[in-house]
Amino acid sequence: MRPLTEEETKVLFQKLAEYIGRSIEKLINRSDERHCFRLAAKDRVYYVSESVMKASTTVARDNLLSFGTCLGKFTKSGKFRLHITALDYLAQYAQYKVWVKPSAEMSFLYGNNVLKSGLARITESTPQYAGVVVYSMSDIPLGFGVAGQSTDACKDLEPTGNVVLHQADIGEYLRGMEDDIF
Amino acid sequence: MAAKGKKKSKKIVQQTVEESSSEEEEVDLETMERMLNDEGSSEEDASEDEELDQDDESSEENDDESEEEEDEEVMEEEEDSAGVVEDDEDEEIPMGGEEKCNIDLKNLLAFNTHQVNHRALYKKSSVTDESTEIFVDGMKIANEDHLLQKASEGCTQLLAGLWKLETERTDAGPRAILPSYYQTVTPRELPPPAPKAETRWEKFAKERGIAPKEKRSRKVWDEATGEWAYRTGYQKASSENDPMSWPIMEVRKNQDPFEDPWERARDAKKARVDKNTMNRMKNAESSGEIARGTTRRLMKAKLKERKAGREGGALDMKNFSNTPAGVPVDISEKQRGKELTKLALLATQRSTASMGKFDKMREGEPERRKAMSGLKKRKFESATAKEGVKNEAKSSLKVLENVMTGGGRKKELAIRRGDHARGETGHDFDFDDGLSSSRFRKKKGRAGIGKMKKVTKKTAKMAR
Repeated sequence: MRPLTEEETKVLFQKLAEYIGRSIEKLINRSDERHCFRLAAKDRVYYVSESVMKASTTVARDNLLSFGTCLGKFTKSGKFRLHITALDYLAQYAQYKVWVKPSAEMSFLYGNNVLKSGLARITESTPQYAGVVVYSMSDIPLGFGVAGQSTDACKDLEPTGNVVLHQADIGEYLRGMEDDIF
Repeated sequence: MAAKGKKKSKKIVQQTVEESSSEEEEVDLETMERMLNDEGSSEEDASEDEELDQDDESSEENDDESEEEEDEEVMEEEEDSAGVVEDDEDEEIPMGGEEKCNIDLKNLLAFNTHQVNHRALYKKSSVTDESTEIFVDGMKIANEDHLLQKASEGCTQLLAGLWKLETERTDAGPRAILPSYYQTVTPRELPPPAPKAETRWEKFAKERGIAPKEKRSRKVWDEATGEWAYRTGYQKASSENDPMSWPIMEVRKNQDPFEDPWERARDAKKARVDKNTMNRMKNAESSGEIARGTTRRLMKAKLKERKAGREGGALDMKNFSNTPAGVPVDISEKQRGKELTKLALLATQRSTASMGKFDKMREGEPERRKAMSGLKKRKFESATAKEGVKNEAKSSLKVLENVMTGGGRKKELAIRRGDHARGETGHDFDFDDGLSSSRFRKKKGRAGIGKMKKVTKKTAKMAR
């Protein structure tokens, strides 16, 4: 377990900023307890409170499987990949949101993109390729993805066009696509 | 030679069998004893040794054990006094109200099949003060003395039974010849091995009525050394038929005269061995000992490996040159490509003590790149420092600020496009990625090589 280097922090923030923009600040300066980002298990990034982090230093590196919230991992090529476990924080501060119809929920939860036909609502002025969080109509965050089209372009899109390109969804908890999302 | 071959400790077993009429028992014993008497001195060794045991052994048994650990069953005169010898088979009356046991002499077992005397066996909570055990109501305590007595009874009868056997004189004393049969039949521990499957050859030979070959002797006479040597394997006898021992070989028709005939012989031998192995494995496959397809996979892998080894060896031979060092060799064939030439130049530019800092520029030499450009030294950051997380938050915010104000992806793309380069080409200078605290900037042109100048407000103005 170690703090992120400057370069790693930059990569992480770039990715997070796509989804929550400036609200990363709220993750760093919290009112309740100081939180920090830690790199453990070789390439995982965990968002963890100071007290938990300090307690976890007593666990040997090999034995420390998880602590705090896993935000994602660094790929071998140095990019950062968000895991579905990060959804809690993304949903909390999401800049761009997409609500899907109940009929399209299941499709998204099985790892498919959100089509125009399944789109119920979308945040105004969503640019293309922005990170969006997908909600059900009852405002339950289902996952996140990348906006396939800007809001304006979405309006005159055919029903089969992709509105949100799937990145992660809460179905992964059950599907177990990756054993190690935590 | 019916000596007991096993080193198992003998157990006197007291079985608490439910009920058995004493009459029947006597009949059993009588028949048994009759059988005991007409035993033959067979050479069977004790092969099975499952014995049930429950109870402790008396001191006498311990004596017995030590004797059995030798291969012979020696009976000494001392035991005579301890054991009770019953000479008369018909009127076997155990001493002092003893219960008569069923005796299995081959296994050296005595079974007491009488009803257990519960009153004698279990004490009535008469706990001695010295005992450290804790007793609970309703708990039954076995009477050790009673058990010991029963055990010694059985042992005595067993010894008596042994004495009735035929004995032979040895220098260590009389030795009893144990009966050839087991009174108690114990089941075997494991199931019997499956019958061996017929190999293809065995099947074929059976069909054709081919008798199995006579066994060849393992050793043959080696005329060259005048000794017996093994037919095959390590230090085997030299044979005239072995082509490897021939100093000269005839090149037959249709054979390549430039091929190594010994290599060919070696290959042929290897092929024969492989074929044999393959057949053996295929037999094992069809009998289900190994998984199907194993043979094919294994042989294929073997061939592949052998081929690869050969090719590698050939390559070694090709690259091996016995030209003495210093003789000029024409290397015009080996031309470096553009990339490798660049890399070689890069290495050469830094290959002086000053890492190329004070070297003169040659005509047409491209700009020297800084060796470790782009690499930043990482400082150790303690995870548990007192101010650790606070400081970390500060630096994180700094990075965030940077990311949010375009230091992020946009800037990265711009850097890649070379927008921020301050030289003539995109590679001329270090990039200012805005993350470092460094405020140094390189001068343009040759003066900038290896030299850094701090950018002040004044110089910055001038540079613009």
